[in-house]
Order: sequence, then C-alpha cells, then structure tokens
Amino acid sequence: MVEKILENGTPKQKEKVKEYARIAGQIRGQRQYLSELTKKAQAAAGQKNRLVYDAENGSNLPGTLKRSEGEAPTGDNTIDEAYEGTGATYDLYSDVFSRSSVDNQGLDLISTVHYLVGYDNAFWNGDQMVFGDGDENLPEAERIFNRFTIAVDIIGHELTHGVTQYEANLVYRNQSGALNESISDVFGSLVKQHVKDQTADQADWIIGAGIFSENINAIGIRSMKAPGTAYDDPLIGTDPQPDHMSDYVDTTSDNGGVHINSGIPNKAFYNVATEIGGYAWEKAGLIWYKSLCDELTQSADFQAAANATYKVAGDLYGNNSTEQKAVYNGWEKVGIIPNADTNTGCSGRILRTIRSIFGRSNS
Amino acid sequence: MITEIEINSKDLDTSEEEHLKTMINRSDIFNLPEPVKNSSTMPDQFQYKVSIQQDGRKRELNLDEENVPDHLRNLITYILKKGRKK
Repeated sequence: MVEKILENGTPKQKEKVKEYARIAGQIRGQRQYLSELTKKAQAAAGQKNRLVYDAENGSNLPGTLKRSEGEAPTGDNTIDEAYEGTGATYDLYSDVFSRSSVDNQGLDLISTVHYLVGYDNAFWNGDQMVFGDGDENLPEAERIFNRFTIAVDIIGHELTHGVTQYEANLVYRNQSGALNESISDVFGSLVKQHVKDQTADQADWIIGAGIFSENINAIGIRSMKAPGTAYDDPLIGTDPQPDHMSDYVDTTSDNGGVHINSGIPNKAFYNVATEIGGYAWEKAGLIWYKSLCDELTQSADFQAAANATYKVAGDLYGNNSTEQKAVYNGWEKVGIIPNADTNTGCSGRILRTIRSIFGRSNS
Repeated sequence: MITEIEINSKDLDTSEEEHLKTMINRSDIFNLPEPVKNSSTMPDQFQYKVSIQQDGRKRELNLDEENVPDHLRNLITYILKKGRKK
C-alpha cells in the first residue's frame, strides 16, 4: 500500500508516507527498508533514480547492480557512460518538458551494460535499457562498432522509446513505427544538444557519432540533417534513408522500414528546428513533445504527425506565427502538407482525396 | 542498418565446409516451425532473415532476435563473423 501511495498519491500523502517510513525505519532499525522506501519516495517526488547493472557478458537481465543514484564513478567507462547518459536524458525531459522520468511518474532508470559478447546493439525492452559492448572484445583492426554507451544520443534514443511507449505508444511497424524511431532520434539528438549547450545551427544532427570504429567509413548511424549520408562502406553498405516522400521505401524488412523511412520525419524536424533557430528543444522540441503526448495515436502516420505538430504549433505560438509557419515549411520540404482541419492522418488524407476528386481540394 | 551476407560452402576449405554442415544440421532449420510474429515488437532489436539451400532443399525463416533458437543462433553468429571479413 505504501508503494502505491508513493506512486499515485497526492504530494501531501507522499510526504506523510515518507515521514511514516522514517519513523518506522527508526523503530525497526531496518535501514535497508528505509533506504529503499526513500529511493521510491525520491522517484515519486520527481528525482532521478539511476541504476546501472552489469550482465557480465551474459543475457540475464538486469544482472548485477554496479552503480546506484548518487554513487561515485566506478572507473568502468560503460557503466559510467550509461549512468551519465540516462541522467542527461532525465534532465532534458525534467528541465525542459517538466516530465518525471520515462513514465512521468518517476520510473527508475534501469540500464544493463556488458550484454552478451560482441553484441552490436542497444535496445529498450519495455522496462529497461540494454547496451552491448560492440566489438570491443576484438582487436582494433577487426572492429566495426565501439561500445553503444559511447554516444549519449543513443541512450536518449532508447529511453525515448520508453517515453513513446507511455504516451502515443506508436505501433512499431510501417509509418507509425518510423515515427516511433524518428521521435527517438529527435529527443536523442536534443539530449546531446542540451548536454553540449548547442543551438540548432551548431548541432551536427548526427545520431550515434562515435559508434563506428575508425575502420568504417561512417559519421554515425543516421543523419537528421542529410538522411542517407551517414555511412558508405563495403562492410556495412550505404545509408538507405530517404529525405523526401518521393523516395519513400516500401519494404517488409525492418518492420516495414522503421529505421529507413524515419529519415523523412527526421529531416522535417531538422527543417523546423533550424528555421525557428535557437535551442531546438525550446520550441521545435516542445511542439514535438506535446504532439507525442497529446495528439498522436498508436497508428499515426507521417501525415498525422505533420497535422499534429502544425496544430500544436498554432496552440502554443498562435496561428500563422513564425513557429507554425516553420512547421508547415519543414513538412512541406519533405513532401507532406500539414492540414489544419484534422490531425487524424488517415481520415484527413481520405477527406482530401475525396475533395480532390470533386475538385475541391483544400491543400 | 541492414546487412546481407552470402556464404557458398564451395568457397570454403574442407574442414570449414564440414563445420558449416554440422552447424546447419544442428540448427535443424529445415524442420523448425514457422516462427510466430510477436504482436508488439521490441524497438531496435535485431531481426534475421535466414535463407539456406542444401541438397536441393530450401528454407527461409524470418525471426525476431528474441525468438531465435540456440542452435540457429550459433549458425547466425558464424555467418555474421564470416561476413565481417572484407
């Protein structure tokens, strides 16, 4: 019950529970219990609670706890990068969007590092993040990937999959899946820009810079500024991302091209952020965040995202504001015309098609 | 990122060809049931498309990372390692 109150109670109830926990702890001498409750209370009160585990090259999750909130660096780069990166992500969401962790209810930020041997990936499994060491078990000359905690935007990307799960819960297939991926890239990049204190025109807009070893001709895994240009190498092929709807890739691979067609909304966000100028998280980021939380539904497609962001820009900054015009221009440049009438995507498209057939197109 | 690796056993030396055959047999790929597609896919997990031709038989499987049987995983790991060499 105590845990429930800490999760769902009012601030007054939470404070009472914390007081109860302090007294109970003193009476019973159960320091461990008090410590755990305090951690839950901190999370419920909106404080970050990072927990980094080590899978020790196995696959059992979460593994062995190696660093908790407030503890000193361990000296293991991977553990410490995961700790710092999850903290930077928490800070962006908290400081800029007033969000309390992934679920907006103070969820613990759990990471597991050293997952398997030679694991070239990172992912969000619905509850926590998992990071592989890349090829750091191999001699340098044979490596393709470095460890996946090396890039703070990758950490932001994975945690944002969690945020999306708790908000629009975009289906991970076809356009809704590509939007899911794009939103993770957007906020992953914003985490990096926030850490580096960069404005939109100062940022590199590269996702995963440093992930590839020097043996590979790559600047990262994706470019939001110029989708399709992040890598070109005999071993890993050429970056397949399009930057315009005219080059949309119809495929059954990759859950319908979720990591491919995400280049289109990525480029739209880049267009909007650079046209507005300044820190990208302040306006463009806020428009995307509010759209994710309040407008988009599970099956949203690119058109729905364009409509939603256009509407939110109008709500936040006024119709015909420079910000709303930037949103319009950003999507138009990738071949999608935002529609102010509706943000439902599919029905909006059908309506426009019907109007078009009868010569009354409003777009 | 999508990578495609093709291995022809005729290009391998005898011992490695035998090793590959053993792994294919152990994977039992020709008898594995068609994998069930999860309704909710984990973001960013690996997906594999494994296609094998052997002695006039063909089999193609599409699997999410979490659904790969252990012996087939060993075969996939072998193929990925072979594909790493430029």
